[in-house]
Amino acid sequence: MESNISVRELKILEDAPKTKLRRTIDRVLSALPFVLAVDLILIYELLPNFKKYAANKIAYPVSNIYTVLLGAVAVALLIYFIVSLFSARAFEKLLFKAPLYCVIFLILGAYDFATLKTGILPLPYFPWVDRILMAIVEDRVILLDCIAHSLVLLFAGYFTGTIAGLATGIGAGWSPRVRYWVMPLMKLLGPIPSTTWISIILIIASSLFGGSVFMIALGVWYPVAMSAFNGVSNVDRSNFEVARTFGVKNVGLVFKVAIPAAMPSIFNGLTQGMSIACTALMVAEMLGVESGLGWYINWQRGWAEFAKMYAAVIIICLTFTAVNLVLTFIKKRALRWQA
Amino acid sequence: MGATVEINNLSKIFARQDTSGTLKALDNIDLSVREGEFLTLLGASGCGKSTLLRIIAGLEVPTVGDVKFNGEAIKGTDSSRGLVFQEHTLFPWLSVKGNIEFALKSTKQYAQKKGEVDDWISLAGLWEFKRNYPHQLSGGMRQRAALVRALSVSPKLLLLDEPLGALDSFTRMNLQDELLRLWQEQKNTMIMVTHDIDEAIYLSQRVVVMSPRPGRIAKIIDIPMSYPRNRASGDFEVLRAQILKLMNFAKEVQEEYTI
Repeated sequence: MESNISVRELKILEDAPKTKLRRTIDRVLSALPFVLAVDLILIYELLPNFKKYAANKIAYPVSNIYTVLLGAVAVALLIYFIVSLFSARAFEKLLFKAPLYCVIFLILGAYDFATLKTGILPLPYFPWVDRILMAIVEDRVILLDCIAHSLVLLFAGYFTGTIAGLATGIGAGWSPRVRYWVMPLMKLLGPIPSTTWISIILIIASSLFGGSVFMIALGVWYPVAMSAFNGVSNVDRSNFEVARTFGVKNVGLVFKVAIPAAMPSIFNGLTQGMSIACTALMVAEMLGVESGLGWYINWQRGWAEFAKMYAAVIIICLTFTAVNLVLTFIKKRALRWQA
Repeated sequence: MGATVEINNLSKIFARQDTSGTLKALDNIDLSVREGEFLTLLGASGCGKSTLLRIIAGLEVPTVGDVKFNGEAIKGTDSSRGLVFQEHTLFPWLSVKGNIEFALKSTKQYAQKKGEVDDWISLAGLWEFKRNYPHQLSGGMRQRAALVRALSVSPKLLLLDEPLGALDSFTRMNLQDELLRLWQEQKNTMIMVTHDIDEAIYLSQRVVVMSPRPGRIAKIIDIPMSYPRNRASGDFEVLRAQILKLMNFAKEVQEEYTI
């Protein structure tokens, strides 16, 4: 029986009412991230910089990039806060996130204070945030090029490994004959981290790109093959029997029953494979391939450009996070049917 | 439009899982099922009734003897012989609608019967749930969906392996009436496995009482009552007492056998 009360209304009806004090505290807490973001701007712009840095503006340049970025964040938080005054749902979400935002801003403030403002944490190892942002802006063309190169290599290896993994895993899960030949190979190669092969690949491979694709693919292949194998061999037999009573045979059983039923397991392998692929990518780029984000970090290390190294680390973090978000999104859509 | 099944001198022996020995599940079964008949196989667990059903479906092969479907020997599964299991019958990755479409597509009837999918969903009383996945449905809903999925491809013979066994008694009685209505509408042959005496008497025209270890036909009982049947009537009581006695007798036989 459908009830016309929403989940929110139900919560209000059943939960104990909040006291006036509690509601006031919650409101203040939800405004705090905005207040702290503004504070951060004020500290950065108004507090005098460390003497050594202030004296030499050419060696230690300071820009408005950090201010602009913090300003954008502050405006977003202000809009969020205003919306939360009218929307109870937005308020709940903001209230939930507020403590986390506050702590992040406090840490950023403390870091800025310890670097740019007082020099407690010295250069070149501890560049302040603005300096890192400046590095990103300054090297934006080359960084974008690195992102493109890294992504091309990552996906070339990932897709090759995934296709190989699905073929061997599903084959071994389905056919005892394939299993007989493939399993020993998987047991032998599986425990060896794929990056082990890099020194051999660097010597043998005719192209470094091809060699790196192979190494990444090898790392992805194992978890995908293993998960596909487990998924297919653990499919409830009754699924096949039902399909057979509808006249589905051999190849049809693999594609219409075994693979969809094994999808949850396969996606575990795909996620695991992605993290291995990211690691292998970095190793390949730092040791051989002469492009990409890993190569960029290594290159900047040669010049002791720590701000640029951190810039690349931030870009790597954002890139891999984006890649994993896409994968999670696909996984959620594909596994909608799961409880 | 029904079908006949002829079972001659059928025995089934399984390899045991625990030891290297073998186990006789069915012993010398002779049975002929008439066109358009509703027949139940009744017996305690271990009497081989499900095995018999799976052989007719083509999921198992007989060790000795043969089974003919409409006069032809059975070779593997076929969409003219539908099967509904007790549990886990819907594909969990497909919605209610998707499950019915799977059946129609697999049997190459989709182009011609696309329009009937919604009718089947309504018939199962699942209209509001047609886009839901099996884990979002109750046990009764799942079983109704599995039933209409099997019926949607118009099998000449429908095999039911304790399809209502996992349900509570109210849902069960409702579905029994549904089943009878569908059978009278479709006029297909029904063979249903059950261990519920009342269910067997309420639904079928003949009850095949089986005895366990090894599975044998103890007796075939005609149910001459007209539909719809009254579970509280005197005739019903008499038949129930008769079958109960028979099943107890079967048990005694089995005890003697094991000693």
